[in-house]
Amino acid sequence: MQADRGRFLCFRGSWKLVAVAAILFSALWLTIALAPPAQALPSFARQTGQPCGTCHTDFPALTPYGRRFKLLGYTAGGGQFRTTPFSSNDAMSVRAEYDKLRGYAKAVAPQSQAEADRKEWVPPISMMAVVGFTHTQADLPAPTDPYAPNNNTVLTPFSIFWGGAITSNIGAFAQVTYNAVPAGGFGDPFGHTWTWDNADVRFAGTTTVGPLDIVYGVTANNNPTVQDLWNTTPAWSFPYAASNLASTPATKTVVEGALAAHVGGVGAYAMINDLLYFEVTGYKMLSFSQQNALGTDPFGVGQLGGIAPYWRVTFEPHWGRNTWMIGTFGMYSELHPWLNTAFGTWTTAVDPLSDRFTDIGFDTQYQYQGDAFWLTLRGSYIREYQRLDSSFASLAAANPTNLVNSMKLQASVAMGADNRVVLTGQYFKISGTSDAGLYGTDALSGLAMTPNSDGWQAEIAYIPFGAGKMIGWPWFNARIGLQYTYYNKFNGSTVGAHDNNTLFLHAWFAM
Amino acid sequence: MTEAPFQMCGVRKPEARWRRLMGGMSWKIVVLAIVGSVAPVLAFDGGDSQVRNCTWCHGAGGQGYTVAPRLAGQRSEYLESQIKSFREHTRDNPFSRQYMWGAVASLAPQDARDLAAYFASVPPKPANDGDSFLAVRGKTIYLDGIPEANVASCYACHGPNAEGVRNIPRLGGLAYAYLKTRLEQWGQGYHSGMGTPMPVVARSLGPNEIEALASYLSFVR
Repeated sequence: MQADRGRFLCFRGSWKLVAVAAILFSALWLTIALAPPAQALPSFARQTGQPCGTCHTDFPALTPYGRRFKLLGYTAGGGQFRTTPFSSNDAMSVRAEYDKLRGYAKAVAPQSQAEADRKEWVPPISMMAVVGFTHTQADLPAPTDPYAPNNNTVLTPFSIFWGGAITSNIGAFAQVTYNAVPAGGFGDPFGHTWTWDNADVRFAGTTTVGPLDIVYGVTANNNPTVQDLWNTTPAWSFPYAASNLASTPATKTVVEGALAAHVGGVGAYAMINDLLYFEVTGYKMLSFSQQNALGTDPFGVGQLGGIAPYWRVTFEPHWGRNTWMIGTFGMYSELHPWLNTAFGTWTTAVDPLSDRFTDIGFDTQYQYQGDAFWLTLRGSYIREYQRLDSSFASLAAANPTNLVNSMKLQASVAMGADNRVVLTGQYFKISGTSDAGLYGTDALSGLAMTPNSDGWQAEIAYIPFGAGKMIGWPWFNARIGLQYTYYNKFNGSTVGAHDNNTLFLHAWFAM
Repeated sequence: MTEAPFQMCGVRKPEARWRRLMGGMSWKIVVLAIVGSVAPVLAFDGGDSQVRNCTWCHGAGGQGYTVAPRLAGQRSEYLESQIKSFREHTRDNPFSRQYMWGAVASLAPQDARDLAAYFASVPPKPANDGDSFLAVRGKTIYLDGIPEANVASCYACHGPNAEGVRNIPRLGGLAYAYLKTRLEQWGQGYHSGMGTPMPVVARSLGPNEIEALASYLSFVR
């Protein structure tokens, strides 16, 4: 193993040397910072001195200030602890900014420098665990080992986070997660319980150009839309906690999580005058072995060819206690299906032909802050244009092109400061072209099936500490939720759709 | 896309896995991701972090954002006095309690002074979000008061252009919703710093007068 590593270092090219150096540097960086990462995170509360309710209507859903905290790279501070482990030049910098503004030549170090440096630094590490009871209207399809056919209580997921600043301009939200074994087991040797999960490392800065106040930044992340500021895009959309056992509709658009943890992406963003937001990010798939080493099943999707561009534009005016966002997002991806997912021939070759997916999304959100409540209305619509060159040639798909649409309409009210009660209702609909190859044929009519599913979700949640300081603050919070999912149609059929109706009672702990 | 079930068998040797781990174009993404996230801090001045602790909520440039008022152009003595009143919990309206008490709890006095001086030096932009029809009435109240209702002229203390002086705040150009809420709160029993005459001055203002004043002031440059 060591010899192999040596050969690699000698012969595998400059990119790899740079990569090793970058990883070592990154590891050193994190070691110096004594730093691991975090979500609706107590570590954010420690860093900012603010209760959870400043940034979250109901975690992980964000308020306008939560969005701005993320926009600024998870670096905003103000709490009783130091923001970063590095010596603080904050006070000096304030004076420097002031002097620069006034045209003075030189900043004078204020007396508070030593006081700022005396603050204690606590690594921004958090944990969360969700314990959930799942009841489905009909028993789960066999095999269900290691679970009972119905009425199971499972602890999943359990996550450890780094959530907070690394330097005054760089912050991270990064998550390592344990997922319980799915019903029936993984079914292949590349299934993992521990995996890297959502990761978003940001650099953010602010500047003024003429009449424009600009927040700009760079994001490096592993899941398209995980970096987004609004809960209308897939990575952070409702439901925030879901059963790992209940069946869910089989068809999703690519941007709805198909590439999550399979890719790495780097992008740039800018918010202009707290009004206009632009972002462009490019994603590239990690290698088969890298994904496997990080706990991701590489066979989850095909191999992504080239760079998948992702874009995001929003317009969000604000007035008084109101914010309203309208935006668009999308991604283009070329996925080459695996030639042999059985892995019986030890091959990870892919079809030279690809299936091409163009996802175009539109979303909107209105949010109102009352004296002791938040009202949020959300809507999103994603239209995916599929050009199935590979799947059509291999007869996996009956059509050369298909459409898939995904729509969500949601209303949520979070009432109370502490002892917050949150009511959320959502209608969802997935629709698309019928295709006998992809979706099969109807047993009775013999017609090609569609991916169509639609239904309702309702949840009542209780959060004990929304605006006040939690017990042991800033170390702990919880969310107790009762969620019900009702299907009108499931995977193209109304027959048996109700069998998938799911009751999910869960307790979500964050510390 | 539709996810397909996968049947896998066989496990690769560790050496082969390591070589694959090290191989391929995806290393470049790893490098770009790390360098992309770390390099900018070496190349750019991203603005001051203490200032960003404020502009986080008060908007880029400190021009105000939703319920957080504009800080830009505010009187430094006023800003400093309000930070003190947040710290001492004498400014006690709901959003002050919810946000600002915690926000200033660990703010050193010298930092508060520097931040106040900084934001006072930032050119303010008027919100312009009031009702322009009510603004005419608001201007009259601002300049002349309402003698028959024993409402004093605002002009006397806040200045002819609502620019404030010393620890009397600049009102010109603040957001309509913020001005309206603050004027209402004087009559609702909330407090601010010690010794302010505003509870007495503002208690005679009715809802219509408050809306007119807030509208007018939001347009003042």
